[in-house]
Amino acid sequence: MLCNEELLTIRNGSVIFKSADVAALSDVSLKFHKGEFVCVLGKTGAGKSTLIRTLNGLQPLSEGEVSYNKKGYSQLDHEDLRQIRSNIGMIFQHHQLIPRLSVIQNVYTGLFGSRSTLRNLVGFFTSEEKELARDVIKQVELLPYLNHRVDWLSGGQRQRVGIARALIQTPEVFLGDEPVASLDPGTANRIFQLIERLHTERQLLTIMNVHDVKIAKRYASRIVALKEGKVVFDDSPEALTEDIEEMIFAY
Amino acid sequence: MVWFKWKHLFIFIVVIGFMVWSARVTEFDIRKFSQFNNMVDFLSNWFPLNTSIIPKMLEASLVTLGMAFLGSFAGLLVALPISLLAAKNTAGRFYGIVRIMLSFVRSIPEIVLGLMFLTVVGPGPFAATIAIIVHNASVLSKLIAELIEAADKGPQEAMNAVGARSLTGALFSIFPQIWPNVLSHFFYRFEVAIRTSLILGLVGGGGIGQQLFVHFKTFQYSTVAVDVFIIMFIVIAVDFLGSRVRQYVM
Repeated sequence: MLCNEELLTIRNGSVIFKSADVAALSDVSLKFHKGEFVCVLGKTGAGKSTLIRTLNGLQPLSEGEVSYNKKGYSQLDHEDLRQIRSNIGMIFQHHQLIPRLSVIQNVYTGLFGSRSTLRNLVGFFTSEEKELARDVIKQVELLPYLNHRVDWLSGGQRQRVGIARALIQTPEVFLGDEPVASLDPGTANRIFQLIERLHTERQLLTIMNVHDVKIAKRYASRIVALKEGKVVFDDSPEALTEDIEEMIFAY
Repeated sequence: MVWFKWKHLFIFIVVIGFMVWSARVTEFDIRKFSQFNNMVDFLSNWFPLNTSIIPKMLEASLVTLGMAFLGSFAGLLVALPISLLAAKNTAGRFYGIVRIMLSFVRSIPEIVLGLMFLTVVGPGPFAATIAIIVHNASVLSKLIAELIEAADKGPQEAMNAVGARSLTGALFSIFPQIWPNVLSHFFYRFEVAIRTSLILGLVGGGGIGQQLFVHFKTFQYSTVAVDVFIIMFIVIAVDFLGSRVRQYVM
């Protein structure tokens, strides 16, 4: 671990959905530090998505507390939480881009958290913001597609747009909910190479859900595994033995 | 019997029963078609067409077109903000009251709205246009609200995740994806508004509808024929225009 600055923590966090009788997360305590590249492993339904969504407050906890820079989410009003979210970039399995808008328009929406409503609605962007948008699109190698509609791009390209939208936030934390689950192995690896490069360049705290152990072992500096909403493993990739792996994915 | 259950048979019998009942109250009787000659007589009075009236009727049809366009487009402009307050996922606590108000307005027949406004602004196209605006605003609000509710939730979550305010997030994550369907609804309502403006002609709403009514009542059938052909032409033209615009906006 490069730095030990504690950035994001979840303490005794539980999420219980009313519709199901099982807790999606139960009594999870984790501390995440700046510079860490964390992969969260687990089979479908283990609580990976729920965990990631609690970290930026999209999913409120039933019990426990998530805090960012020592600020507990339950103490914050909506406006403060919004400010925190604007510092946390997030990418999704299905990209969640806005269809019918172009690559650069989608990337601009990443700035919505830090600007006034009027400026967002009118679509007025400063020259620095315009440059920033071009810069992040260049980093994800999509400059030739700047004005293409996102619904005309391939899956891998769309995920790059998603990454660019997160980067323009100049985030401290980079979250991913199964960002490569719908991609072929080659494209998935290229996306993770990009994520790794950006992670290192920008000294981010990166937390990515994956179900592919190979990807987790290859890119992560720390692996957290969930099973039935509980943390069953939290250590370096080297410590993840085949026995533990089997336990994580066993029925 | 994989596809069918006894319940389906029961529903089928109920529906057939309802059809039989409807046929009875509407005096539905195929045998009455033995008087088909009457229609042939009637239609033969339409020809030759009274072509001298065409310029005047084209003028009246432009009034109809204007009523229908203004009525539906102004209705759309009013409906866009209201629809946000009538969709479950964006309305918050306004949802119930806005929905109730919309269905109340929608339940008033356009001809009644026309008669009501006529007492205020006098007979003519203005009263008819207001009636069409009010009706379309309420219909389009409901239709667009349903599009908003059915819109993909993904982009909305993404806008929450970047920290966008709820209004900005909703506008940007919802409207781009539903826009082609909004236009579809608009063009359909435009087409319906043409027919509505004809009916409103009955109560002095002006335009070609009123002309049609007057010509009909004074037995000028060769002029009625011209009116009908012009109306058909407008409806087909608007439908064609709508499909071209929808093709362009995908």
